[in-house]
Amino acid sequence: MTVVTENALFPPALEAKGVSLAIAGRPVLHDVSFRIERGDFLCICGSNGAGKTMFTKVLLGLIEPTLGSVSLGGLTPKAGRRKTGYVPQRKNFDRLFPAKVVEVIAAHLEGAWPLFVRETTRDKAAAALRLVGAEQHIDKELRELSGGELQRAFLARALAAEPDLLVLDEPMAGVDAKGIHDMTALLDHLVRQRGMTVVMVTHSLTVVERCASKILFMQDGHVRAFGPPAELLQDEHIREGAFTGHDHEHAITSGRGDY
Amino acid sequence: MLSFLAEILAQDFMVRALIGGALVGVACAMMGVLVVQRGITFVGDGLAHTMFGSAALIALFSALLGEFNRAGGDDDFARFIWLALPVNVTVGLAMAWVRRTGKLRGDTVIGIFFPVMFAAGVLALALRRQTEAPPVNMEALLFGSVLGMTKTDLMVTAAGAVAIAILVLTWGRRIAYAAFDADLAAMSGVRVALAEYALFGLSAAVVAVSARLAGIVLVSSLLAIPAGAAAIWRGSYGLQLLFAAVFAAASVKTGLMISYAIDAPCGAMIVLTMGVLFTASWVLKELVSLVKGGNDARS
Repeated sequence: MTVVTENALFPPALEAKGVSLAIAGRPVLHDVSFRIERGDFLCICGSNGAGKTMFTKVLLGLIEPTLGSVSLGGLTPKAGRRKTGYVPQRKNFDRLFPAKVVEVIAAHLEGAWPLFVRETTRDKAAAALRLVGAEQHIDKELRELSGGELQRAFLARALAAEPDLLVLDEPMAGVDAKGIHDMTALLDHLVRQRGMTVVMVTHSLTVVERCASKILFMQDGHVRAFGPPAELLQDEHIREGAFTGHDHEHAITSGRGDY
Repeated sequence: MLSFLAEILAQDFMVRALIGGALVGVACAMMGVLVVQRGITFVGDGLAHTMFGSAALIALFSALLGEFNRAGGDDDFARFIWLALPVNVTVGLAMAWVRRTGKLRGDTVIGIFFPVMFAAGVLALALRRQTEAPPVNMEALLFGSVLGMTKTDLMVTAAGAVAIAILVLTWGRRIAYAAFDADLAAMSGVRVALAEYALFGLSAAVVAVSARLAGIVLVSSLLAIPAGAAAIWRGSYGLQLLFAAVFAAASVKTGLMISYAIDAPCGAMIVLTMGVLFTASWVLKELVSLVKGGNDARS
């Protein structure tokens, strides 16, 4: 008789087991372990150089860990890519590349740069852009967009394939207060209405207070704390280590978005 | 004009040159769009010079093996070019491998392979001269020999050009995505490492296929100029491929006809025609921008 455990039927949305990473012999992640369930909103916090971006690259399968493993809904990071949306921290794309917003989304949907954008693909891109309030930018080149507009375009790209897991690396960097308010409201809506799981690297206490269901606090590549915000935000050491000097918008934005 | 065209089309060697030249021009131009978008335009120049080394090594080994000592001249030159194709593709793949494993910039790798392969070619030709093999037609290797294309050359060139064009239209879309942003492409399922090997390997192949027409000195112009003219207009990837292909085919045909009319070297006329058309395209783009800017300011 085959015994099917509850874990096999409902694997965690994201589980890291003893993830360690060394780059050019220098350790950057040490034994990172935690798990979150479907519908969780995880904020990864910590000062610069804590290993947050490196960890997101491991969980996206862009870098292989030296030790340990990551599972996305029971799949390896590479196998789970098609169900994972990603909004990078730095927009490293070539500014001279003639890329329109609709082409960037089409490329993600088709897994190759489009020769010409098909009507069905354009409709999907328009729907994703409408969701983030950026449909008017569909035919603009990326180089014409402001920082906030670019973030919305990349968020639409990530959402277009209807992912189960959304990974955002400091998506609020360079976004004004209203943009942050709108984006947190949208992400909150996606988690509540669609049951999407969100992992966000952020320095923003505002975002954490509004959205997070779990916080992962990292320091020097180690997990220093993991748990719900109500518990972790009481700790002055975490508040100072994760947010001091970064949370410029906290004083000028207020209220939870009602998307 | 019609009688001039009729005169040209009555010459078998000119018909072969026009067809072969247009096919090679289109293949180079389409590959050039990928190379320019990836920001390694110099790779065309680099791989053209490694092609010299590849062809010279084939010339040396053929002399040592006594394989091609019969006729010499243009026949041997054509054989060296086709036999050098897999050698140059191997060199292209080696460049991609060194770039990835050594984490070097593309121009650094090209700067290493270009002189080393060129020096190997010079040495190979010097060693060949010590054998009893006839001398290699170096002028044809450096500047091309489009008017000397045989039917076999034309068929091999056509097959190579069509294969490269199909690969650019299919696999090239993944290479273009990786050129835009490697991490995002990987997240969308593109095998980025494979895309890079394909870019260098295909570039080496297109240079080898084109060497018979343009020669190694001029082949890089077929990669860079049509793609550069297309990039000025900033259209979609498909439009850029189309623009570059039409630009190259028109330049090759016009250049060949002018060279026939004034009895000038074909390769030089093709490159100069591309230079003139590029300038015209750039001036037109600037004029369009001025008019649009004026209209935007008035509205």
